[in-house]
Amino acid sequence: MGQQMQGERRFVVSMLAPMFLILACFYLYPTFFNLYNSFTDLSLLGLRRGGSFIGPRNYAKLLAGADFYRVLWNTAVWLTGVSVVVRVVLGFGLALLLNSETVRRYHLVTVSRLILLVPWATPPVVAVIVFRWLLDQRLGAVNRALLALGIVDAPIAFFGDVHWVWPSVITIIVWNTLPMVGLTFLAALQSLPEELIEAAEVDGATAAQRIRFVILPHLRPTIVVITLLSTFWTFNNFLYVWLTTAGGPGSYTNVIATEIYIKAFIEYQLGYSSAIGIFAALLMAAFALVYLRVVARREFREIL
Amino acid sequence: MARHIPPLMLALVLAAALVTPALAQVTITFRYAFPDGDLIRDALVDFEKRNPGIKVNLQRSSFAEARDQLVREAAVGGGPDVAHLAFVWVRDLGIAGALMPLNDLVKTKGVGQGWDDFVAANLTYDDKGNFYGVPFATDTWAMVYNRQVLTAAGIAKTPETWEDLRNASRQIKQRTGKTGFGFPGGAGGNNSIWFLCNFYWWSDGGTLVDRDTSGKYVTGITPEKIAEVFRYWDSYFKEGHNPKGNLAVAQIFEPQIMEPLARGEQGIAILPVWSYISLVSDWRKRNPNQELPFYSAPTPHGSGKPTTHLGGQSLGVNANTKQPDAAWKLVQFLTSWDFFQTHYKAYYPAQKSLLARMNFPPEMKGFQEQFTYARSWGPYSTGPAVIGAMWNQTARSFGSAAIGEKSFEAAGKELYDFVAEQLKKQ
Repeated sequence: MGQQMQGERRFVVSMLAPMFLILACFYLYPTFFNLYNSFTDLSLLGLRRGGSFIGPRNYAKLLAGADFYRVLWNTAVWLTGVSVVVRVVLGFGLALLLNSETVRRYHLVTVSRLILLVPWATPPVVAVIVFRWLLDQRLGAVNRALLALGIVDAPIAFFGDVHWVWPSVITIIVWNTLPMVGLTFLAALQSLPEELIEAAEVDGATAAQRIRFVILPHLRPTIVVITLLSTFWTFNNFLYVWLTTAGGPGSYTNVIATEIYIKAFIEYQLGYSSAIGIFAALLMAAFALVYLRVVARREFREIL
Repeated sequence: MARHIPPLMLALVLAAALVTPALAQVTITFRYAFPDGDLIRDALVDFEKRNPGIKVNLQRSSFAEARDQLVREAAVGGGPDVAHLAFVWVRDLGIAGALMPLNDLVKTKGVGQGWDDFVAANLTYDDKGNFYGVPFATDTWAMVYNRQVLTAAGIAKTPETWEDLRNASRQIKQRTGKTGFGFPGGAGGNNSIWFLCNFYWWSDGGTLVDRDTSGKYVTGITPEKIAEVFRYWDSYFKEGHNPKGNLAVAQIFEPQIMEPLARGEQGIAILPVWSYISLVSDWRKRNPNQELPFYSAPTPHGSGKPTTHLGGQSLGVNANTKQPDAAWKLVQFLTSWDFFQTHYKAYYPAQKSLLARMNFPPEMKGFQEQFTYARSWGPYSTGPAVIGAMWNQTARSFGSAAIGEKSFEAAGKELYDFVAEQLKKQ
């Protein structure tokens, strides 16, 4: 038995080896190269010459600057925290709705799922451009509708007003990525045995109680995975913020990814931007540890 | 007869072998960074007819990405043979080893009406006297007014000072409900508030980067003056004659600025030549047989002259090119009078003698006058400070003050200190 297990392990390892080799070439090497660059004064215009070693000066500068903590806050709280929570909550609600008896009764299952796929099929760049027009202060359809309905007296500067800019950016992110969350929850919901719900109904559980005591415990692993994965995907996201506000007004919406771009490609400080990248990677590694602890370890145990 | 055929064939084969290298096609690549690539495509067909041994592949790129893309490619031995780049990039790209020095080519083969005829050529030099780009087309910014909106607001006189401009903008909003002077105040790599601030400083006797008599680069402005100008531009947003939403718009030619202008919902704008040309052309397509409502005029001024930057694009030859001679022939063609007369009519050549021969239509007269006041970026470009970094910081500091995160005084000092720090690298 033990020999058979060892043989299987060897087989698994040999099958995985090419993938690890590719990972080492395309991920590990660039990571170490970036780590080295973060200790140099490498400039974008000095790529041929290379940078000089300056020790941990880039990290010291990074941690001493007040701006960086603002960037960190924006990334962790607004871009990631709020947007992930909103996506998970709305995605869960959407999945419940799509799985409901009402949708089935009116034969809306296929149509509603197709409609749900539209935002997901829209490339983020297109989504941002469309929303920038929709939310434009002078020409945007949203402001025109709000004015026509008498909801506001004056058009809202969705991207220029600090009260609105983050909610507007998050709206775009949520619109574009919600379907993936919703459909994942829907798949998990459909694996829930109907007998459990029926038994809860027979026991007199209200709808809220069924959600709390039957559905949520069943969906817990899915919620954990989707929350962690959404966190990974969002934390490093550059596109939504850059195309919507470029980090402005001022640096009000500046996040880690846009800061890396600004330092590397506008200010030419590749060494310094590498340090920011390494710092962000360390934060991501912390999330990865949680992910490994919660999800992947169980899966590995099953395989090995 | 048959006996003579083999020697004849041999002679033909030999002749073909000798002739072939002379007819061999040399292929080079030209990367053009403006949206109207069709103009260039037609021009390249013309070039290939005039130079039968040279084939040119046209590559397109976004202007905003052109510099970074070339830096990355050149570092690994790639990139186009000839690249279309901003005036202020070529020096840095040359020092970085991405562009080849052109001194020998200019000396031995010549270009245009002579090197001294090119405008802003000083921006292409490094400290050793090597130069890395040939100024191609020149550009500056000027004011654009919608005559109908101004008339509706009761404004009869074109603003001459910055205060006049603000009053006019205010009046348009008050009397017509339309946007007065609409301009972007947003952040981003190529934000426009940088230009507006500099135009104000220059026309009022200051400059963010200067060179003193000893040749040292210094800040030629006080933090208080920076704050004053920030506050001036912010007043348009605060008073509401420039929509607050424009605080999120970075560039002057974005649809949020151009569309209201084209629709007559905005009275005043400031535009680069090529944006104005596309506005006029677009308006004429939308409104055939109607009188153009736009006219251009020099920018307002403070205590000095209405100064804007003499911008434009240069042509650089990639340091990795295997075909420098063919590349140079293309550069010579693209800077010729024929090219500007036949293919590139909407743009203005960066050569004094050709510029003097250009015909400015009535709606462009303001730009024609503005060219006489325009200055090159000079010490901004040749000094140790990275233009992109100062550019970016200007928008960040202005934006932070505009949204109330910090006072205008603090924002002014922040930008001043940032520039001073950059200048310490000399």
